Amino acid sequence: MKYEGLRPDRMTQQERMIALFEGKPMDRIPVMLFYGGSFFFRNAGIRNFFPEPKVALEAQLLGLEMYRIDGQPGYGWAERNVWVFGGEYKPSTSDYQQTLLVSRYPVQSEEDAWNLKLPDVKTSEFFVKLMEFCRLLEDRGFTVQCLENEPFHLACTTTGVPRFFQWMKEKPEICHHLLRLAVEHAVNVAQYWVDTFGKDRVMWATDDGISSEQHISIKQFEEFAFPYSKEMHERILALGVLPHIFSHLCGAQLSRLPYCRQIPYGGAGLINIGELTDLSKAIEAIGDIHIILGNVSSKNLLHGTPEEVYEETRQCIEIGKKSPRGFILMPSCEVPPMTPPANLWAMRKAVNDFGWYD
Amino acid sequence: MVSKKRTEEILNGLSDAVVTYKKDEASQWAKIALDEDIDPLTAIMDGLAKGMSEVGELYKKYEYFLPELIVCSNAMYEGLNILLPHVKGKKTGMKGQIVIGTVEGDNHDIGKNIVKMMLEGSGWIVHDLGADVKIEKFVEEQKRINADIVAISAMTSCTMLGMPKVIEMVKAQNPTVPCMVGGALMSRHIADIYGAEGFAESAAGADAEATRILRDVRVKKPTK
Repeated sequence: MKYEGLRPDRMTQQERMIALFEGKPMDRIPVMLFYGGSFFFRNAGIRNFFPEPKVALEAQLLGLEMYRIDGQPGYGWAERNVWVFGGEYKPSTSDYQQTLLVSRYPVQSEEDAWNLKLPDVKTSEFFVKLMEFCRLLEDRGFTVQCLENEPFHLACTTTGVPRFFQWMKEKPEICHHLLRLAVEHAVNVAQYWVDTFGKDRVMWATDDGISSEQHISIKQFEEFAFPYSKEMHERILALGVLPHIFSHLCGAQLSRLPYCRQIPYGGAGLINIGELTDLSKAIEAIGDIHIILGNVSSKNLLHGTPEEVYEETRQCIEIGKKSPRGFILMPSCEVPPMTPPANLWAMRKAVNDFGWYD
Repeated sequence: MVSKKRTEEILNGLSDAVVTYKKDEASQWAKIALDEDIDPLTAIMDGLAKGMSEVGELYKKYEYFLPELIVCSNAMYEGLNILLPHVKGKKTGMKGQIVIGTVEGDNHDIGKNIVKMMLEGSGWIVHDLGADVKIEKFVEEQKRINADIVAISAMTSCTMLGMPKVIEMVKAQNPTVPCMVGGALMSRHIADIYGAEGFAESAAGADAEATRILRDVRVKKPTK
């Protein structure tokens, strides 16, 4: 690694992103985080996975500036819908904890599943806070962003994964019922956000790591995940969310990527792949129509040395820069809160040293 | 004395019930095994465990996935719960005792549960501490039951950091107790760094890995 500081950018973040979306030349590859919240909270001395919106925003803005990362702050965590649908979390008790831990899932029985009601997104405590966060984002000149689970992930979140998987074999009708609710919930959220901020003002983001190859077969994916994702994307785009939907597809997802050709993203989607999905193969699969984001190992960020992170980032850039529809350097998943700061900086330095297009 | 042919029929019934995830059939065949004086340990090892071994092979070949593993394990436990109380004495013939749990701060237990199921289905006695298990609890439980192996699971990169602490404390208490680690982000390289003797790429390899590390320990320290 050289220690010469960063070269000055020749485009603003906004100019760079517009160029990326329009397929025009950029000064360098953008570098973003899927979610840096937990790391940036700790970075700012906050020992809480879910601080108040203003605190969360300020901590992330500080972190993004410190590490010279593009993108914008986010708000939430993987199993946020447990709370939205009436489940509970336990108090944090471990220094090793990465996120809130569920103590009770909303659905404990078949009867619970059939009786599960769609939450009122206008009064749900999580969405009240998310709305406040989005208003703050808008005030600061950022695009309003709403992150919602893909339906399969959300439906599993209502029951816990083992129960949902058992029902896929024994009571598939319950799974389909929950998946239907998941789609309707996402559409309700999108409708509320579009009503509040206006058409073409809301950036939509999704995440799903549960429908990955390690968990379910491609046949099960086709039955339980794909059709509901397709419907959700179609209906949300029809409501007027911004094009270029972002999807964080965690875990091993290579065999799922071709389905992203059939799921509408409003033009080129922003597909963030995890470290268990090969970057070259992902580009081969969908790099002609979607922008690929990835995939510096979060595990390496936490456990590796700065030199190892720098080298892995270099390799990602070498591969990603050739992606036909565009590339954003991004970690494979959330930045672990205990990531050594020098490792995140090493990732950023590698973008500086290898990410320019001239 | 039950005939060899009938014994095979019962054992195959148990095995098939597991592979085809039929809980009722597993329960029925387990009761038949007891009624017809089949040795319960034989029924477990050559019936249920044989079935789980086949399930593991189907999982390795990507023919079965986690939903199938869960329902197969439910069938296995249906039979196991009937047969295990009838295994006499100290369950000699079982492979050994393993303490297993997901480390503190981590609620993800599906992988740990699949490993537990594979181990139990292969003839290990498994003491499951559950998820979000305090580091000290692994150590206490190993000592309490004099477990042969401690198995630690973690799903997230942060909670993985608790694993070397568990291993360090287990070794401080008893240096000869091998530890094995697993989780979505785990690798042999990280297992080595953590000081864990055992690691398997997937749950299907857990039995073989546990058998290997225990054999290695016993070779180094012959039983008196």
